[in-house]
Parts: sequence; C-alpha cells; structure tokens
Amino acid sequence: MIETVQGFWYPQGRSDRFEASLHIDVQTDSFELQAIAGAQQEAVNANQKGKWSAVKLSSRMGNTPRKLFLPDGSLLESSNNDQIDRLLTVTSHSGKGSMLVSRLERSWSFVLASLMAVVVCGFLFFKYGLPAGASYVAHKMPVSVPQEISEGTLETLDRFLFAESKLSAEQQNEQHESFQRLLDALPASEHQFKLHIRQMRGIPNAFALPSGDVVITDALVELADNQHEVESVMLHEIGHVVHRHGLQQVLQGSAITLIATLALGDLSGLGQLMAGVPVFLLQSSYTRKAESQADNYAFEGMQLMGIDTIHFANFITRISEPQPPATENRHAPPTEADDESEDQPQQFPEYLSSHPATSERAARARRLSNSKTQ
Amino acid sequence: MDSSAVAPPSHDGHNNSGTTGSDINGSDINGSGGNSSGEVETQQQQPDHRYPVEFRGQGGEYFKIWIVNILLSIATLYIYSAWAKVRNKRYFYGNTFVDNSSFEYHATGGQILKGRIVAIIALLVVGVTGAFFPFIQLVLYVLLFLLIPWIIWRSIIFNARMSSYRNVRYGFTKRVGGLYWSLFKCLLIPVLIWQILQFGGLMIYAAKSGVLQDMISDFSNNLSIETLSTTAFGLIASMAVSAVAIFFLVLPWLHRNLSYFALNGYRFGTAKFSASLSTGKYYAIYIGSIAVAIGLYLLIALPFIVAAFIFKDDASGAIFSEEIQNNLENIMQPGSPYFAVVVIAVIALYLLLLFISLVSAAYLRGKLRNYRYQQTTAGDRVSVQSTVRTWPFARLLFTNLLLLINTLGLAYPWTRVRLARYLAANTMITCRGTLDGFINTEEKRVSSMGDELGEAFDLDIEFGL
Repeated sequence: MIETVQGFWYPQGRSDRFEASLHIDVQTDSFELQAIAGAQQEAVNANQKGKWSAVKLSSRMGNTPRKLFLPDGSLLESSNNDQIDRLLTVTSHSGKGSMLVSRLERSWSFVLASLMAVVVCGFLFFKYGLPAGASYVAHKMPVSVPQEISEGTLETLDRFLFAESKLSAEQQNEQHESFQRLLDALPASEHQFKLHIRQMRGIPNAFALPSGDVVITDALVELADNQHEVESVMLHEIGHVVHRHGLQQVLQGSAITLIATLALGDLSGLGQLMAGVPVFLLQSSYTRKAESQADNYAFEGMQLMGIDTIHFANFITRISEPQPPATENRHAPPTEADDESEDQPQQFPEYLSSHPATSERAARARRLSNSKTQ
Repeated sequence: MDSSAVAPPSHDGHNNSGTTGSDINGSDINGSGGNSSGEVETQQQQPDHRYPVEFRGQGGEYFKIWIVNILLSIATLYIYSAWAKVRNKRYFYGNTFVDNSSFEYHATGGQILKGRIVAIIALLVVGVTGAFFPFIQLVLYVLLFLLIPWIIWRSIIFNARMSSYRNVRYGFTKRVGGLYWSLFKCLLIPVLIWQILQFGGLMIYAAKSGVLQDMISDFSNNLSIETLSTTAFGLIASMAVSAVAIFFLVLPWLHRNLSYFALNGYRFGTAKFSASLSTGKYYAIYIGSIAVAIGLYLLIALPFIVAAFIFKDDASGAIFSEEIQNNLENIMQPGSPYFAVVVIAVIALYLLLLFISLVSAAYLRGKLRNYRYQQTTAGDRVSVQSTVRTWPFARLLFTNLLLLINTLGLAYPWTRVRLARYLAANTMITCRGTLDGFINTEEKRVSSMGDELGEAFDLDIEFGL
C-alpha cells in the first residue's frame, strides 16, 4: 500500500519552497519524494528515495502543520495530520511513541476529566495542602527565624504609627502583671513573650509580632469592661505567635506567587496585576483560618485559667461596634436578641474579609461559655 | 482554523520565499534576508513582496492542550512541565504563518529538563555551602548574580537556534560582552555617579552650614551600636531609594541598549538582523506613556472636580453637607444604603485605574514594538512593519484581563491566542524578491556538554524584543 502525503518541500539548507508529494510504502519501509523544482530539480535533490523509518517526524501539535525531516536534511511540511497519524499507526515508526500525548490533547473526554482533576487538585491543594505544608515548615524552623524577621519592626512602628502610652504607670503595671499571669499559666513556650502598650491615634487594637512581642493600645485597655476581656485578646495574640502564623503567611505568600508564575508562564507587569486578585482572595481566606485558630487558642487558655469565654464574645462585639463619639453609653450589654440577630445582613462578603465575621467569633465564644447569661 | 489551507502549495513550481522570524508570544518578530551567492542577484532585481503574518491558533484547541499539560505536570510532580513548555511553544510557533509556511520550535523536553536540574543543583550547592562556609556562600551568591546576564545570553542563543522557518534556523551571533557593557554603562555607572554626587553634595552642604560639626559631635557623644546601625540603615535605605529613582531615569536608555543588543545579534540562516535605534525615541515613548496616564487621570477626575465646585456648600466651602460629614461613621456601616454605593464605586474606581494603567502600558508596548520593527532589517532585503495602535491594543488587554478574572484563570488559553492573533495581524513582512534563497548556516558545532547546559537555561526573557 502506498500513501501519498502532499505538502511544501524545502531542500536541505535553504528556504526555497517547492510543492511536493511524498510517496510512502510502509511494506518495504521506503519513501520517494517528488518535488517540482523546475530548473533546480537535480541541484536540490528534488527526487530522492530513502527509508521511511529514517524520516523524523515532529509530534502532532493541534492542527499545526507537521514537519517531516528527511534524511538528507530537507524538510516536508504538510497539514495532513490525520493521514500522517494513520501512517504512523500502521507502521512501527519511532514517531509512534509521541502520539499518545497529542491524542489525549484532542480528546474532549480526557480534556474534561483533566479540567475536573486540575480544579479538584487545585482546590484541595490550596485549601488543605498548602496551609498544612506551610504550617509544618514554619514549625520546623528554629525559633531564631521569627525573631529575625520581626527585628526592627516595632522600632519602625514606634517611629511612624505609635505614640507612647498615656496610661498611668499603675494601669500599665496592671497590664504587664496580667500578661505575666497568663504566661505563667500557659504551657512553656520557646518564644519569649513581651507586652508593649502603645497609643495608636485612639484606635483600639492589638497584634503580635512573630518574635513574641505583643502590642496592645491604650484605647483597647480603656474599652474593656474588665481585665478578663483584655486577657482574652492577649491570649488570642499569643495564639498567633505559638501557631507561627506570621511565618506561615510569608511561606504561603511566596508559594502562591511561585505557583502563579509557573502556571501562567511569564508574569509580566500585567500578569501580576491579574494574579493580584486571586492571591488576595486566597490570602484572606488563610488569615481567616489563622484568626479562628488564634481564637481557639484563646478559648483554651481562658478555660485553663478559669476565665469565662463570654468575655471574649463581649469584647469583640464591642470593638466591632461603631465607636460613638466618646462619652456615650457604649456598652449596651448584648441581649439574647442580639444572639438571634447574628444573621443580620453582613454586607461585607466573607471572602473579602481578613477576619471571620465578628458575630461568628462571638457565637463560638458564647457556645463555650459556662454562663449563658450576661 | 483548519490548517489544510496551508498544505498544498498554491504557488507554481519555482516559487519561494524569504523569511521572517516571528516570535511567538506574539511579541516579536524578526525578519531576515539572504545573501547567498547566485540567488541574491536575481532577488535584487525582483519587486518587493509583502507578506502578512497570520496566527491560526484557536482558543478551544489551545485550551485542550494547555489543560492536559497542566494535569500531566501535576501528575508527574512538575517534571513533565519541561515537555509541556515545549508543546506550548510549538503550538504558537506552528500556528504562526508567513506566506503559508509555519515556524517550528525544535527544543526537546529533555533539554529543558536538563537545564532545570542543573539550575536546581547549583542553587542547592550554594545553599548547602552556607551551612558550612558562610563566607564562601556569599562569594557564590555574588558569582551567581554576576552570572545572570550570561545565563540570559545563553538562553537567547538557545531559543534562537531552536527556532526555524522554512528549514532555515535562526541564530544569535553577538558576544555576551555587549550585554555586560550595556548593563555596566546604563545602570551601574549612573547609579554610582549619582551616589557619589549625592553623598558629596550632602557632605559639602553639611560642612558649609556647620551642621556636619554638630552631627559629628552629636554622633560621637551618643556613640553606640544602636546609633551606628541606625545611621547605617538610614544611609543604605536612602541609597536604595535613590538607586530606584535612577533606575527609572535610565530605564529607556537601558531598554534601548538591550533591544539593540538583541536585534543586532539575531540572524536567520546567514542573513543578519540589524537595527538602528535612537535613545531619544525610547525616551519620547516612555514619557509619552506617562503623559497618556496622567492625561486620562485628569480627564476622569475633571467631572468630579467640577461637580465638587458646583455642589459645594457656599457658606462653609465644604463639599459634603454637614449632615453627611457628621454621619460619616454611620454611612460607612455595612447596613447603610450608602455602603453598597461606596463599595460599587470603589470597585469601579479600581477597574478604572486598572484600565488607565493598561492604556498606558499598551501605548508603551505598542509604540516601542512599532518603532523597533520599523528600524529592523534582516539581510539586506527583509523589513518588518508593525501597526499596533494603542486603543485597540488596550481594549484587547483589558478584555483579556476581565476574562481571566471572571474565569479564575481558566480563560488563559483564549487570552494568549487572542493576543497572538492581534499581534500577528498587525505585523507585515516586506521582502525584496520572494522568501526563497535564505541559506542555513553550517551546523559546525558539535555541542559539548558545557554548551548544552548553558543552552538549556531557557529563560523566557524578551527584553528588547
């Protein structure tokens, strides 16, 4: 059986182009080229014969023209992909091996299966794999690493954001003592915790550096009804440090960037803009998770010390309330009705937020509370 | 698009063609010319032929290839990605046509993988060294850093050699010294000079005004590790900041020189590319892109500024009524009806700013591409024209962006194809005579091991182009 493949033929070493037919006899493993080269017919070797198995074929790539590299260095370019595939299947040509991938690439069912597999893999990886991996690596690092990465941070913040605390020495002492009580009660940790009290333009806030420096603001202390409420926040921050959330986030952030680069190829300036959105969504989902973890740590710590977790619920609810301009009676105690109204429309969609909804966090604290009443 | 259109030659027997290169990402094209002995004379007398560049790939088809390759990469722990990379490239090369002939990318997955393994081993060696000999690690890091231009150069050579059109391979002939010299001249020297001027100027000023004496006495009085390190930190930070500023000032110049290096290094067979690029033109285009952005910002801000003047409260001069000002806190609560408006406005503003930066980027990329191509010839008979226009290009980039965001990245194959198609459609090759007669260079180099390794660092860097 002789098959004839039509195409363009380019002689060895030059860009001249001729129409040509390649006659292939698979039984005798031979080919014969007939190119129409006019006057140059002889010079360019436009009629040649050879072994079919000595012809190298480019593997199929969609419907792009196939390149057949003849033994003398000339090239036949043909778009008859199906015909060439058929030829390969009936012979024991070495080009056969490369057919599998291109066949998979053209099969819709395999493509759909791939799509689903990729989506599922991606979901599982980002939801569980990456956070677990980052957490593992973060905990394997020597404790000096979180100390090093937070070096100088507090100094910088002091310069640009914070002012010295205006609380009286007495009040400050009280906070430090209460912080020390917590540390004494908690299981020993390799981190060196230290409390700092600062003034931050009247905003109630608290955070922890990976090194173990916990910062609370004057306004936060003033907003609290009792010391247990402040302690619940301190415990939450200590939880961040113990779980090494800072390191974990750095690791996750670099991993996501790396993966985006690998998957989307060259991330030029525009690509980075595009990647920004999903990266942002992912990161905020991770921080929500971290917040819940720190909450849990705080709840456990409170239970350990015999502090009612309701204080956490009360405080966090109060913090997230709009701050009325001073003086007003800001603590209308949350009533049972409030509990019901948890599902009051939270207009800020959860996936945009870096913290879980306050009502949810408060509700979890209430569930753990021994006193259901205020 | 069916490729059958490509197949049977529609030309009569003795018909040929010249050349062109095109680079695939759609970002670049190269032309070339032949200077074979006998052929050239006949070509010289022939009239000019104009060949449009066509991209015949299709989003759906490429999607299938793309997703299967991702799956295989995942399943093989990223090892297959070397082959996936080759297949992606081959799809874009093979679908780019000039005069019904397509391009080909010849690299194999094995070559790419080998380069990656070498890179990983090199990084591991440097990493492990650090555990035992921190100082040697520092030296290795510096060496690695100094090696970056060399690696880029090798990958340019590799990618050029792996590209062909009409059975004629591309190549790259410029030596790496030109690249180092460009970086040295356009980047290092200006930054150094600036630092010296800045430091010297500060010192002179301080000495004249007597501040220096105060500083020194103040400094020596408070001498401690802390003040020393704070001073050092401040010095380094200010140097870094001004280095970045300088970088943006010299960027067009640097860009011009890198383009020049690349465009005068390529050859198609024996036909060498050449380009004469003016630094002034690069500066003009860069400044133009900034002007475009500023102009659009003003245009958009103008109605708001006018509205603010019209609606402002005459008595107090405030833009918002007192009622709104006093209730700002409540208005910004999630429950407030204003809140949704504000959220929508913020998103709209974000998209608007994105769009403006895209228009500016489209201007920069398009104008530079048009200019570079216009200045480039291959051999002595091929020239290239690029006709990218800012507005349609920006629209394409913006819609691509929206596609990507709304499909969480799944539309990536379509966006690539759209971009390639647009850029191809805006590229034209002019050749004296036909595209016949370009001569391949002799493959005289038997690739040694060291060469292979260098070649296989296939960074996708397209500066210049």
